[in-house]
Amino acid sequence: MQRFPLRPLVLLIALAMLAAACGSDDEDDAGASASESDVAAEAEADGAEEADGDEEAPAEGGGEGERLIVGVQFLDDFVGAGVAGFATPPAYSSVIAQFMFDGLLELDPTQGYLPVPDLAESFEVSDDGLVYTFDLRDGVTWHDGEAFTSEDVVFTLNAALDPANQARTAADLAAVSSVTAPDDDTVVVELSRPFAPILQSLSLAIHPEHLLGPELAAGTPPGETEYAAAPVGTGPYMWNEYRPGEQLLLDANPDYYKGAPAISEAVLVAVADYDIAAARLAAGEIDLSEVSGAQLGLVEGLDGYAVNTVRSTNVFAIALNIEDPLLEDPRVRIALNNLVDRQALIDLLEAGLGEPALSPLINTSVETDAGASLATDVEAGTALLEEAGWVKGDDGAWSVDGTPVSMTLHDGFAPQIAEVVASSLRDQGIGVEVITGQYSDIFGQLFADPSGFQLFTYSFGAPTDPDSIYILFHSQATLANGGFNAFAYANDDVDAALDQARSVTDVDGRAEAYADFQEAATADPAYILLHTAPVHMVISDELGGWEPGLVEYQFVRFLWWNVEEWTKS
Amino acid sequence: MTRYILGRIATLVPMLLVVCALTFALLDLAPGDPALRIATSLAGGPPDLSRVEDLRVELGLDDPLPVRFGRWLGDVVQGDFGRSAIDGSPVTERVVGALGPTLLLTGSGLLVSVLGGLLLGTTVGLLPDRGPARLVRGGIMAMTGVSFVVPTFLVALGGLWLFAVILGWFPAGGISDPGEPRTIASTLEHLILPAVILGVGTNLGVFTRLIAAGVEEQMDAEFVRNARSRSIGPRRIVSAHVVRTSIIPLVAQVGSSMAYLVGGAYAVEVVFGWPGLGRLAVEAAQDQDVTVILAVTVISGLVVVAGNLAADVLLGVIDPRVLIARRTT
Amino acid sequence: MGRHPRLPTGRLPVVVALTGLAALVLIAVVGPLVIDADPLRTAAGPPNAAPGTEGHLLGTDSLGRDLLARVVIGGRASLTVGLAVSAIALVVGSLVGLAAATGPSWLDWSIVRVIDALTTVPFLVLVLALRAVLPPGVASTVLVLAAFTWLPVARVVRAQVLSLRGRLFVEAAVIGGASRSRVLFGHLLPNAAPPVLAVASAVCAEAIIAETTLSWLGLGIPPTTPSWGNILVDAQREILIGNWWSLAAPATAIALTIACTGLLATQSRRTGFA
Repeated sequence: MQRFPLRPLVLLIALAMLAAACGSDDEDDAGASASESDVAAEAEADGAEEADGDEEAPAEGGGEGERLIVGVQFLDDFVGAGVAGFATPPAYSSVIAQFMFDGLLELDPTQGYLPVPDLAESFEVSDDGLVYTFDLRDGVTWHDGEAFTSEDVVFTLNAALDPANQARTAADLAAVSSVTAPDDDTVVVELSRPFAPILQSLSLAIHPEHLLGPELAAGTPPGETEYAAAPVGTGPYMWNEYRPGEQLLLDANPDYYKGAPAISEAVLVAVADYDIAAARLAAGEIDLSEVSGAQLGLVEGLDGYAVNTVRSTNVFAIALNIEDPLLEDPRVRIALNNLVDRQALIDLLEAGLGEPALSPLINTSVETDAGASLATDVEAGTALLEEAGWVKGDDGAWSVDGTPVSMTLHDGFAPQIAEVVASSLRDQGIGVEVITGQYSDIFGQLFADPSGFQLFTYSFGAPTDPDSIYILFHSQATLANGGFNAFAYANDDVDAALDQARSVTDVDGRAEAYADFQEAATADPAYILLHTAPVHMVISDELGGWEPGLVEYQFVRFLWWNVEEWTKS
Repeated sequence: MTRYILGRIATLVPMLLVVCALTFALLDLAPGDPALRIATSLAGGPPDLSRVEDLRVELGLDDPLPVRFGRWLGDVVQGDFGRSAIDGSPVTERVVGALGPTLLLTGSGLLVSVLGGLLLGTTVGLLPDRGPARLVRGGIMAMTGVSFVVPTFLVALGGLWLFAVILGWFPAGGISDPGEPRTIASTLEHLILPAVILGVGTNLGVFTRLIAAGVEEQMDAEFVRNARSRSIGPRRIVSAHVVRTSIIPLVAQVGSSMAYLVGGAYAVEVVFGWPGLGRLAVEAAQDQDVTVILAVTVISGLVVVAGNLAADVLLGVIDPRVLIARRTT
Repeated sequence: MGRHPRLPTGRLPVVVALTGLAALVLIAVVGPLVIDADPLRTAAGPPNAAPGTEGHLLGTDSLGRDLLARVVIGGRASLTVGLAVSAIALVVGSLVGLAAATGPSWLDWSIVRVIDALTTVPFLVLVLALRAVLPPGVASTVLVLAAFTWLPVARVVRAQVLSLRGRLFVEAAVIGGASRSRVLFGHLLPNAAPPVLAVASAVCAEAIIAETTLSWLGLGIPPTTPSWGNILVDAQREILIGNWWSLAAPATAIALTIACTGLLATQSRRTGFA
């Protein structure tokens, strides 16, 4: 049962990265110019279209008696995070949210993950980018039959912002200064500064005030409320029964505002790891489950199933301690990018199906030019190292000032990646020793004192908004400040571009800022960028309507986003 | 008899206390500051240091070890296993919910190994060690000896793929069918394969050998030869004398193999997605969640001790000499 | 039974077993110096290459590493675990058992209680608990496994010494004025040796198997240090897609070791005390 040892702590950190990615309390980024909001305008237009589509009847399907059986890793963790409510990142990230909840907005995989209206029918943004007014959808009801109103939205956002609830989404919403409801159908969110990623943050799951409100008011932590034992949403499926460690039973919501789902029951079955998922697929016990590249041999050609490869926004990387004498010189850091064998990683670990990463932003809603000069190129890398004063001996081994180069690579979660990277660098004459440990140990050491490290395996838990890289590259986002820029990387041009990308709200303006970022970060790398790891959705031939979305490393998975449209024959 | 049972309990309870104290002290050595750890996971990153201090006071982490142990023990006695060292959530519910499935699996695994051991052991013991019968003996010994050379998790993985995936005779995991209510029938259906694997993967080999040796010895014994000479049928001899006599060491062995059985059950649970204590323990170990580990240790100890006690009582019933012997030591 | 310890002799089987173990140790020590391939080098050949492919005698694993080089160097970690654990268990178990059997009765009482208590904790749980405290590695794996394998040794030593204490030759030695330590280490311990060695041999096999279980749980020797356990665990998935060789190599090595220790254990038991 080997697996990435991703357990709650990791999940929490992934959540935090996500949260931090979407917002930060730094004052420097407030120098924003209020510009016209193309994003919002576009989204509004799309919203109208969406709304039209919504009036149509749902897909005709198997109807009564059909049951959807989904294999889910970390089910208990997802349920825990899902019912605690505010712990969930933007609504369509976790499996629970995608089955049970709606947000004000949803991120649409068919439109580059633009936030489009969900519980809000439409919204407007003031010219200065500080006031967002949401017009709520009429006639939406909670699973218990109560009407959904603006009170629920105000309650959820305020609860998420309330420090007493220790919501992990609080950081997402840090730019929010007030949430008010002028009437039952309208919510006004005011920001203290223009903040482009806020729309993604406002897609978080909305919870019912009439059930959760009194319990929170009484001081019960969200995760220990009675509500958490049987949560109520507005989404396509309703809570039925939870058997911890085993399965979560859900029933179709006949009153779902987009129309009742075609499949009347959904069962989320816990699978301890991808190998177990493969076994249960092979035994024909579940309709769909994801597996990783390692299990492809087990599920390819399985009778009655098809394998779909889902692209990932997640970039694996090696963080570089830029204060280490060996790694100070940017030329050395570029050379390491040139010398690492990305194809070996993709071939050995992802069955050839991953994508090489030359930018930290892959498959996100803003495209940047790849950092071409970071591509694997042994000649260029060798030349750069020589330029930087490294000397290659007759045996092919590099040395600096007469001392053979030998570095450590610490890893807390992906030993195979570390082994392949180290081996490919050793092949180029750079001594690298891998030190692996348990996630909490290794990251604990990093949080306590980063100075003892040289190379460190990292994974960028990028959701769809490119602002996720802020906490990895900005000089203000050090560990001490709650960011994940572990080795205090600081580059003025990178900082400026990241700040700019936060404050402009139009798509083109942000794209331009990220292009600037890419140029600056490529000339002065903070990481060895490696590759992305896709997941593979194995789907029963009986199932129709599944649409691929993106996945992020472990948490954000657009794999069930259109579950209400699925059919089973 | 009552006095005997009470006496056994009186020695078993201190044993449990020793286990608790040792485990508690051991886990106290775990690297890292528990307050820092909880604060880190609550913050999802580098935590606020004043919050760490608050937590330390809140959790009473500055108290000396015996004080903390006493407080923990007091809570446990009242049925409170404390809060997760990772995310601060209550542990008791998770542990108690997992106990039932673990007991079911462990009990069934024990049953399989005892019944299987009796059947196969008697067969081996009665078969002559020559001619074609020797092949049967050898076959049984080799098959039941699998647990001596193959780790339980590999037996479980092999069994899962062979019997659930390739042959499709049994469900491949879980304790009930997806979406169906938990019924006795469906639980049994899900139980058979892991229980058999647990039985074979842990104690079947030992039990078979024990019974075989006992039966061989008894068949040579005087009273059996006497019975034979009085032309009492072989079946009656076996059931009346031989097996009953050989069963005593088996029952004694069951008591001392409980720990092994429970450990094996945990490996089987992980492979079969059985929602028991084993899965909880393994996940807790990977997270280094000491509270959960502590709770699982105590409960496992309790299960083992209860098994020991049951075996002792049974032994006393079958073989009253034990009562006297135990009382005098 | 004479006063001089009789080493386990069924002669031939013992010679075979000891030679076998010595050969395995020798291969693990010298092998990596002789074999050219780097056990850590990934993509050294195509992944999952069959035995005999371009200089990979035993084939390669899923990361394209040479299996022969890995299994040979893996013997260092695994045999270290097996031998060190049984050595520690032997020493600690003997001392504790001896102390219990010959010490004051309160000491005996407490030692027996602690041993009883510790045997109620399932191995896996004890290992998980210890793992929370120790970092992964060969040394800590040895410690973790030694922490419970000394228990049966101590039990057997105690029982043996208690049963031997009243024997004639011991009493003769005592009457003859032999010092306490001379009686302990010169007479009692050697005569208790055969069954104790049997347990120690079994412990060696148990430790090697337990190491694979730890690797499976991701709590054993880190994958960057090859061991038979983590090679075996890497291979468990491969065998399902028909790449039998990746499992065969470490499994054979483990089986050979267990066969040798098993032979030793059986012989020790058979030639044991009168």
